[in-house]
Amino acid sequence: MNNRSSSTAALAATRDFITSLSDSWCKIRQAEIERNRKENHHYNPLRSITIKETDHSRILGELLKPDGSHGQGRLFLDSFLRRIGIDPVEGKWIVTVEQDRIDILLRRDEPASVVIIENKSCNASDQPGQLYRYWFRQIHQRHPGLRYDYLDLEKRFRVIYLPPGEYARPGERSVVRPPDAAYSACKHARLPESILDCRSFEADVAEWLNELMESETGLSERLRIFLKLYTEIWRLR
Amino acid sequence: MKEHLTSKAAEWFSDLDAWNAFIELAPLSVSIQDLWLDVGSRALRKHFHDRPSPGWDFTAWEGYIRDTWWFLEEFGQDSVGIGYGWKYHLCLGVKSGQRVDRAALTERLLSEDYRPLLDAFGRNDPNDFGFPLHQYGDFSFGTANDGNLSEHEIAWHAGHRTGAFVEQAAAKIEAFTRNPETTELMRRLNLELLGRGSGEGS
Repeated sequence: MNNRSSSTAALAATRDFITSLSDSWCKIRQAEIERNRKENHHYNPLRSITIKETDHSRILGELLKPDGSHGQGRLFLDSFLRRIGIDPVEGKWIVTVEQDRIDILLRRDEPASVVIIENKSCNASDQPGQLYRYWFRQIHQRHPGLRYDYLDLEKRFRVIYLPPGEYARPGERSVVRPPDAAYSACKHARLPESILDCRSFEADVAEWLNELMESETGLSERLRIFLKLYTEIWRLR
Repeated sequence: MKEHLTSKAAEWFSDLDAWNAFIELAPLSVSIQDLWLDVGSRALRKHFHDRPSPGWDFTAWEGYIRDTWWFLEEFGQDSVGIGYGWKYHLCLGVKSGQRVDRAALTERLLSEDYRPLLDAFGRNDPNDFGFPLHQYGDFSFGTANDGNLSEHEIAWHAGHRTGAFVEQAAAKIEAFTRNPETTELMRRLNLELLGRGSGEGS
């Protein structure tokens, strides 16, 4: 096809498309308006406000706390622990939010377990030595005998990196040993790779809460509506 | 020419609904492209997740769904690697950090020792991104612009011919990650250059 006939064909296709606009697009638009009038599926006030990283930590932390205001006891905690492969999930877990600079910390004495959640919901930059320091203080110093090549044991010790989207890994500077004297004696030059667990709000948090909404028919309408609006902000970005 | 086409196009909008629909749709073109690129990128990442290259890992580049970076596990993501940035610009070099002396990297890549890396990369297009090797638009889908596809054409193919898009995008990366010779050369390059930079980790 020469340039002239190719151009003519393109113009004809464009003209056909434009002719169809008043019909097809207007119908689609009208149907969408009608559906939204009935179901309000465009309406999500959480998308209209800025939810800061610390707010997301508090929202998640509150859900994970067995004595959280949701009144569902261990429902969220146990299902989250199962989702990330902690076995067994039973036992007394302490959940803290925004303490010692750690976004969310889950700790259990027996069997000894520590899950550190580094919330990167707003894609904040990784700080130098950040994950290494958290691991060093909360896991390495408190459980110095851990063998990181022993898979069953390390499953109960995690540093979860939690950005919005899938497949994001922490930057190098976050996982290497900081130059401070406090860490110089540690034999680990970087955060043990086996303890790092990269997940995401989109694929893990939203999926976890959606699955709960589907399986737990007893959830109140109030809780269900909030969870639906909250998971939507991760899925429809 | 432009004036002539404008008056021709204007004649097509004799219907107000069509004109309103056009005005509404036109600004969505970038969002539509991003949506198609998301489809392609998710499929590309799934390809590498399901079929990992030994010794290599990958990460979302700066957290974007559309940009991905591959690196040798033993050196970390601030080492010399390869990736797709800025919506499918193929780049070889260093994406972040100060561990690698960029000038020394460019010098090494031009030496005969590392010739197989240039061959594996293929066409090297000029760029303003600061990468020694860069390529854009070199995909083939049987269209008139094969080899020099524009951003909106790449996006369309990522969304509509996802399998063929992933096959070609993955092949460009796997020329490095699944080839023992290029993998070994990338390893050697990193061993020679890491620690020669000026900043952290050096």
